Amino acid sequence: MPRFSVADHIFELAMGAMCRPVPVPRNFRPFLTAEQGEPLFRVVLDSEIEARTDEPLKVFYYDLQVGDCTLRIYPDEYRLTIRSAGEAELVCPFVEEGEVATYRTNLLAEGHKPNSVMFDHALCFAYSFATLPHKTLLIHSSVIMKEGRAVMCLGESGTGKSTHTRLWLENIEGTERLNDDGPVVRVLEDGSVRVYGSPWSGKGAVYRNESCPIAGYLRLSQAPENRISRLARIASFGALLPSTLPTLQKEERTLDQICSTLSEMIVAVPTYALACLPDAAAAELSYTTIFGLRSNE
Amino acid sequence: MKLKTNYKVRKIAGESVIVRMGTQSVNMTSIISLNPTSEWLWEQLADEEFDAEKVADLLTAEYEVSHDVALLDAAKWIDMLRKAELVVE
Repeated sequence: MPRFSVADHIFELAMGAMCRPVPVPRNFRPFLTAEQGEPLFRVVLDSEIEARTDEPLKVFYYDLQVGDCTLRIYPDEYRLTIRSAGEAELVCPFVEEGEVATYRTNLLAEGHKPNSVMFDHALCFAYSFATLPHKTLLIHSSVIMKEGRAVMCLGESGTGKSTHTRLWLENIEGTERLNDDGPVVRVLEDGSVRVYGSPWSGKGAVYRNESCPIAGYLRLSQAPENRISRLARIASFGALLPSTLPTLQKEERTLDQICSTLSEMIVAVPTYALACLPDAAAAELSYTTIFGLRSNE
Repeated sequence: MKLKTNYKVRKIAGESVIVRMGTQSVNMTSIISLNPTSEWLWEQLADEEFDAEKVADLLTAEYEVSHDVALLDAAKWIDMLRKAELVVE
């Protein structure tokens, strides 16, 4: 039963006796842990999932890059159907505080052969759902580190998040990428905010089990010239909200938790809007502004 | 008209906002910031049928403001709610 620690939240993958053992996927290996104690949640991979015939409160359809999903929201659980190489279902009930959540999926049940997209998405959803009450959010972003502090580049798909972090790597000394798609942010007991590497990193494929405090959130948009400004609090909230998991924004309970964590995140760390070209000067501008090396007019 | 009270007023970084999610596309999300008067009106008018006159009456009863000024403010407030699609006519 492999155990993982992502952003210091422990979870385990369980398989029944009938299931053939599968190797731990490459992107999860850096997060294997020998730490003992109760996990936050476990995912049973070869469960039989009974059909549910009552009407859900809400149904939501969305696309993956290679496949699509249907989320059904019930008063007591979320049910996610993922279609790519075949179809699999994931059932995530709500649990009482302190209880170990057990999520069930038929990803590896007899006759099912998920591809990595299905596996990654199911675990990403399960992780996000389980950690949401613990001031933890997966933020769609590309993250760079310099001098032990991180800058999180946000923006809609295609705005150049990865391009901007690559420009830092190429032009600013001593920078490294922490994650290129789905890092995890936590608000800690003392109100400080940290970003952690995760097994979800998109095309960038950086699976680092490391973390650091955040120097700034950087919302990117494309423009014919480079311009940066610091955002006021509500505008910061507006800049970050679209970068959280859309599936968890569909209903009051989970949206409440997203909002309260985001609220603490934007009070603790400044948010900037960067309208930019894909050039070295854009990286230079965001670096010098966020690290306080120039006056902020 | 009536307020769409299925939208909840949330505290974000000490400010009151309404987060209005799009139906399918996340790009449709809008965030409406409510100042203290706006939030107070929102609470007063929950589940009630109202018009500009009624809003003006509430404002004159609570604040030191003439009815004419209150009516202008009420019209502006209702205009803001319409633009943000927070009322049903």
